[in-house]
Amino acid sequence: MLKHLFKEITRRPMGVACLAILAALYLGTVFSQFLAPYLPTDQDLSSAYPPPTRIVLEDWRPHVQVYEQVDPAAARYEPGEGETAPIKFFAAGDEYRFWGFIPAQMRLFQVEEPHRIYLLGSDGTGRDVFSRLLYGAQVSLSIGFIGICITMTLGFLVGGIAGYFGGKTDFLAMRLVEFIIAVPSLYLLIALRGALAERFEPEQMYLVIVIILSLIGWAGAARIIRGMALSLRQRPFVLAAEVMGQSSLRILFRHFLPNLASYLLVAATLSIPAYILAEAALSFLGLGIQEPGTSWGLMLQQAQELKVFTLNLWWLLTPGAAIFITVITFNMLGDVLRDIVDPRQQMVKR
Amino acid sequence: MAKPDAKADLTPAGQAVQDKPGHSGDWNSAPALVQVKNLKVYFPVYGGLFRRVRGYMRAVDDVGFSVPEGSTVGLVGESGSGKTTTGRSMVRLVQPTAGEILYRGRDVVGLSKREFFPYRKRMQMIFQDPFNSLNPRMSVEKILTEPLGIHFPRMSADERHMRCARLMEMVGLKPDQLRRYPHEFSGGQRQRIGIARALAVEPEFIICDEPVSALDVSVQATIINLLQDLQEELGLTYLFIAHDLAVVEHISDYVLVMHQGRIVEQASSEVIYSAPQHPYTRQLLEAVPRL
Amino acid sequence: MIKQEGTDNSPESGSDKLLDVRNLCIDFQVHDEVHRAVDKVSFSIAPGEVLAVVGESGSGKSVTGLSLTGLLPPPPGCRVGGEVLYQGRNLLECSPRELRQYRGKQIAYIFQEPGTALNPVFTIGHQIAEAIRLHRPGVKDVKAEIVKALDMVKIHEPERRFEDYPHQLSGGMQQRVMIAMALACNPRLLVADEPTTALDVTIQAQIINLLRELRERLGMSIMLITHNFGIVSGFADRVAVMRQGRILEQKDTSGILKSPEHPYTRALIGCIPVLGRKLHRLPTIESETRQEQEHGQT
Repeated sequence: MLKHLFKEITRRPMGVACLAILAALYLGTVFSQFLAPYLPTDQDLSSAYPPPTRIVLEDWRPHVQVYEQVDPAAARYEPGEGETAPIKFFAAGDEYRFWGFIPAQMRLFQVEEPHRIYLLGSDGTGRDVFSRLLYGAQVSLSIGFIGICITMTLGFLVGGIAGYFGGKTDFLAMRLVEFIIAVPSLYLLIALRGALAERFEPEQMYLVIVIILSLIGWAGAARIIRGMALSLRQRPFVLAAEVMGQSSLRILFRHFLPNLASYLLVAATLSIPAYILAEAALSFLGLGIQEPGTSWGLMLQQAQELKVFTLNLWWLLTPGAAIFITVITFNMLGDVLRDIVDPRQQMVKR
Repeated sequence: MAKPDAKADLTPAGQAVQDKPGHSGDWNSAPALVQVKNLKVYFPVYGGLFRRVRGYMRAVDDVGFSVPEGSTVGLVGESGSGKTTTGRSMVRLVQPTAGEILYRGRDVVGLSKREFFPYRKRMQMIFQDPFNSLNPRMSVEKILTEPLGIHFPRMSADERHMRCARLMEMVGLKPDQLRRYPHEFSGGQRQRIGIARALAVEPEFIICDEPVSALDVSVQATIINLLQDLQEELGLTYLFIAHDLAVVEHISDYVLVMHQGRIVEQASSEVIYSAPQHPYTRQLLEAVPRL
Repeated sequence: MIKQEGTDNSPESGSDKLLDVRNLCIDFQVHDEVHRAVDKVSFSIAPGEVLAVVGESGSGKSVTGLSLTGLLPPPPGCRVGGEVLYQGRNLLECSPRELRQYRGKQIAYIFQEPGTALNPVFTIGHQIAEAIRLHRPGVKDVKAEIVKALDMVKIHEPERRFEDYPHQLSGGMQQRVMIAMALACNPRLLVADEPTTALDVTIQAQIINLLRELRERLGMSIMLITHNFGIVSGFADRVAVMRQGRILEQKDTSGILKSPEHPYTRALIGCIPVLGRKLHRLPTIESETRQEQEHGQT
């Protein structure tokens, strides 16, 4: 089925575009440590808010323009005439641990100290926005994935079990779902976050947020899946499995899951943006990822200052653009998937 | 409810003599494989604000019959007459409200899920809708190996594959079609796959729930022939549920006519055709188109 | 068995044909392959005549019925060639707007699954009213017309019934409502595409009897599309046997039942179980497996 889906997606220009963008985003996330010239915490306090560095060609090799600070208060920089530094590709930089455990130094590109390269400028403490975007993507893009996995698993289990067993099980499961849907989720989030903040390290906060978001999110999915399971339950092939003595758990996973898979996939694709936006919103409110960590929402929070607008520091808003692109892409991919899945269901019917 | 034994007068003079080999003689000379006694299936009807039980829908109301080993018993009735519910309650897709279902003399109604498990191997079911009775996401091989995995857990992968290929041949399909998916087959072929799935566990008794109603007449004939061939080859016993009396009369040794949850008439197929007693049976007979 | 009232329905009298289909060809394009569903089919229906088109699924019989008033998907997915002359006018050359004048008003349809053809959220009265208002805008007392229509298809207590929703009716009742809707505009031709296949045998007989009566009362023509020779006898005047997009044989009903020329026709008739005829095996169509193979792949 996945093969079929993939083939159908690649037949549609929109699907190919969405897949390409997402592939680029996620590859960037996976290899962020290699792609980013600096660590997200690397500071250069000598210059605040430098603009994106211009890249010039000298002797057919790319060089970075060296800037001089003209007015520290207004964050004005002037390119120094004739002053450039060569960009070194696959050069060693500060040591880091690739994916957390492989010690490495190699980076895609570096500039000799004391010069620095800011592809998308830097913030008030001289941290490279481009590097921070890549590192922030690790949080912002994975939160949707992990969140949706938990949500859909819980939703499928509770909804599937409720729909399959019916009766009292169904009654209890659905009352639980209603209870969770009725809980004011933003308030719960803020309260839980506040209560738990003291007990967790900032890095663990990421997990806490994912878990809170998915524990709230599964209820809606469970309700829809329960409805689908109720109708699947009456389908003769499920009855046949029962007549042959198949166990309930196996019926759930062998007969229900594959037939709900297309729905789950579409729903998951369409709900990932919600998680990305929720993380961004929480971090923006100061309830999400904390310094020294980084995420797109947190970066946007730092771009709240009036200065960003008065001095036209547009590069600090790039996390917003990144969120925008990601969310739009996921939504469009979800639409493409739904188009593929829906007519097929009609075809199967007759 | 009268037991079939009570109506032993089965071969009235001047009637077409049954010429099915293997079933000559009285339908009830063989011992009963399945006996249903006073079966009742009531569905609660909910109503009101608190979903209280307001009453009961008597889907099956005091039904009794017996199915002799190696024979085919037809169960006719219109939709809503309770015939499908009767069949389903025999394999526990529906829990009977009261009554007994004796399989080789043992009442299986009160058995626990575990105690009933061995009977799942003995009783199988074929469903009406060939478009819905196979999981669209499973290949034919997976569909056929599923029951094997449950009832023959020690079978090796090779043995399973061989058995699937054999089953395909038995129902008139090619073993090299095993890798295909249900949507690649026509209605008649899917019904054959459904039959193969039922046969996989080597059952004794098969409940055929309107197996041909959704098929073209021409395909209907081939499926009926297949069922009859399989019965001869494997010594199967059928409960054949249908709304078309002509089909039932053709395949069955003995016919039960069901109307509004009750069996209104039961007799051998010759008697049903030549001397119908109940007005409803007559109505059914008249409805059969004549060429 | 059929009471032929008044008009002479012999198909030979060419001038008074209501519908004359000549060399109808229908091609479907699936991905890059062109599949011919109907191949040079010609038949005609006289006023008041019942023509049965009999064939197995995949023979192209339903597509033929749908093509008459342009109900098939537009090109390039589907191409229709040949001529469909309705009272001398070629419907295949009509614009969609002109076709809508014919559809419903002149040529009405009923389909296999009445349950899916009715909109579940409206009462049946509402749906019949819609059909009446659409095709006969002049009608003042719509309610009286609905009652008349329901009465015609023998639904008891039509005044009460028309407040019902489709799910409150049985399959046979739903099909009656479909017939009432189709007849609300006095069509000259009714295309009945497997009208009884989804129904119980008893209901099947009732619906066929109803259609027969209505045909006699209203003098309309019927094109009955079915896979079952059983419902043809005693109802159709003529039968056309279709297989793989072609008409194999076309004859009057009693003739075809008594002396079918084509072996396929013989097989189609033979495979129906007949009461009181105890055969060890039912005759089948020998090439059935091969044919099914082909269907399975399309």
